[in-house]
Amino acid sequence: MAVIHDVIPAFELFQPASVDDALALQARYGAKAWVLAGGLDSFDWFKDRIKRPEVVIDLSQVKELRGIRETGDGLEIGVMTTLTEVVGHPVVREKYGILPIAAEAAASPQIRNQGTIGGNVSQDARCWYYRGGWPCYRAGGNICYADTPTGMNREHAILDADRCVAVNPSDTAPALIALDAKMVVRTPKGERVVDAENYFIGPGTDITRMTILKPGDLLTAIRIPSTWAGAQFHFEKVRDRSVWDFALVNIAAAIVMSGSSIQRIRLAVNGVAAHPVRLSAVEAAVAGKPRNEETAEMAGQLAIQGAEPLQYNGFKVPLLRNLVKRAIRGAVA
Amino acid sequence: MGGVYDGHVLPPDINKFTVTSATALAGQGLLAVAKDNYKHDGNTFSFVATFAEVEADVETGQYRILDFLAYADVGTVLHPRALGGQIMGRSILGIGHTTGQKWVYDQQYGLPLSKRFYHTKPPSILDIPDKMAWAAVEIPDPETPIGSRGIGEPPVGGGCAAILNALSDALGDEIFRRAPVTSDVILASLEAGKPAQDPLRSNI
Repeated sequence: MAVIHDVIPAFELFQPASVDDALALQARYGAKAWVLAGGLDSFDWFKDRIKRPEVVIDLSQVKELRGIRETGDGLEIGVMTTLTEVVGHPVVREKYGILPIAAEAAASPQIRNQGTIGGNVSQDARCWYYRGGWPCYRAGGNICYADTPTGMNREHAILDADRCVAVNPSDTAPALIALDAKMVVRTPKGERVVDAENYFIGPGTDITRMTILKPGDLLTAIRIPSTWAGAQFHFEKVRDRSVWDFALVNIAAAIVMSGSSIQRIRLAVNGVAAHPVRLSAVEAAVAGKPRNEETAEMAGQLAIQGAEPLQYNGFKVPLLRNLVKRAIRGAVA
Repeated sequence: MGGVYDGHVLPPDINKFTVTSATALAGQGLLAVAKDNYKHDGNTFSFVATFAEVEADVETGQYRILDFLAYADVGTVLHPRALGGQIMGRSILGIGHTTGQKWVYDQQYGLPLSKRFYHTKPPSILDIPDKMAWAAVEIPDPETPIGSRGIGEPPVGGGCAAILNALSDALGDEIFRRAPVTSDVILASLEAGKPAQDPLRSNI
C-alpha cells in the first residue's frame, strides 16, 4: 500500500489539565516534546512535515492558563487567553488600550478566535526559507539563504542580525514591551518573572530559539503592571494587506506627558530584528522634550542608527524612521 | 434515448472532427451536438473602462482605494446582479495584481518561496475600494443572437491598470515600474528620489 505523506506525521498527544501535569510531561519528554497552544504556528510546521515532534503537549485543557485577572497592581493574562478575549476585555481596553489595538492588528478574526496571546509572543520566525524547510542556520545548518546577493529578503531584518536575518513577527510583543509587561515562566527550577523585552532573544544568543524558553520551560502568564495604565498610546502596523498579514514594521509607544513635554516614554518596534526592539536611546533622547515635529525628526534619525539593510529590505530604514516620527509627534499627521 | 438524443443520429452540417467525437460518445447519455450557424460579420469583444481614486501615505507607503467605477460595454444586460458580480469580482482580482499578489522564487535555486496566502497576498475584503460601483452601456450587439457578450477577463486588466494609473497620478511616474506596487516600492523610491525598481525580469 502506498505511503500517504500528505498528512501530519503521527505523534503522541497529551492533554494535561493542570500546569503541574504539563510541566511533568515536559520534564519527562524534554526536547522531544512540542508545547501546543492555539496551533496557528504549530500546525503550519506539522502540515509541512518540517517539524515532526514525537510528543505534543496540548495546553487547551489547562483552565488555570486561561483568562484575565485583576491583581493588586494591574492585570495578569493567562497565556491560553485568545487574542479575541484580550481585544474584548473591558479593563484591558480601558487602561491598557494599546494591547487590544495590537492584538486586533494580528491575523484575521478567525485566527484571533483560536490564537492565544502566549502563542503570539512565542511564535517562531516566519522567514520563508526557514519555514520552507531550507537547511539554514536557524534550522541547524550553516548558511542563511535570505542573506545572500540573490536572497529574497524584503521581510527580513535591518537590526541585530547574526548569521540569521529572520524577524520576530508578533504584533502584541512590542505593545507588551511598551506596557513594561512581565513574563511569568515556569522552569524545572521554579518560577521566573522576566521583563517582556528580555523574554525575546536574538540569533546571537541562540540561533534556534526566539525566546528564553528552553525545553521543559513553560510561559504561564503575562503580567501588566499599572505603571503605564491610562498613558497616551500609539500603535501602528504597516503591512501589505489590511487584514491577515504580518507586519513589515510595527511600533508601540506609551507616553506620559508633563505639561507640554514628554515626562516618560516606552517605545518598541517589531519586524526589524529577530526580537522586538525596545528603542531605549530614543526614549532617553526625547524625555523632557515637547511632542513636536523637531523632537520627532530627531527621534526618527536616532532610531535608525546602526541599521544594516539587505538587498530588498532597504525600505524598512525610512519606514522605521517615519513610524518613530509619527509615534513621537502624535496624532497630527 | 437513442436517435438524435444520444448521438446516434447527428446533424448533417457539423464538422468532421465533431462527428468523430460525437460518434465516440454516442449511446453513453444525453448528447447535444449543433453547429453555430448564426450570421457573423466580425468578432465580439467586451470592453471595460475603469476609474479609480487612491490616497497614498508617503510616510508608510501604504495606500487606500477610495473610489472605483468599472463601466462595461457588454451588449444587452441579461442578469444585472450576475453581471455586477462578474465585473466587481474580476476587478478585485485586477486590484489584487496591483496591491500585492505575487509569486516569489529564490533566484539562485529557482524554488518557490511564496507558498501560502499570507505570502502570495490575494486582496482581502478589507482591501477592496471604500466605494465601488459598476455600470453597463447597454448597446445590443448585432453579432450575437440575443445582443449580449461575455464578460470575464476584461475587468481584471481594468482594475489593475486603473489603480496603477491613479498611483502614478498621486505619486509621480517615477515610483514603480511594475506591479504589484507595495509599500516597500513606494517608500524606497520616494526615499531615493528615483525608481527603486527595475522593470520586470523575474517575479520578486
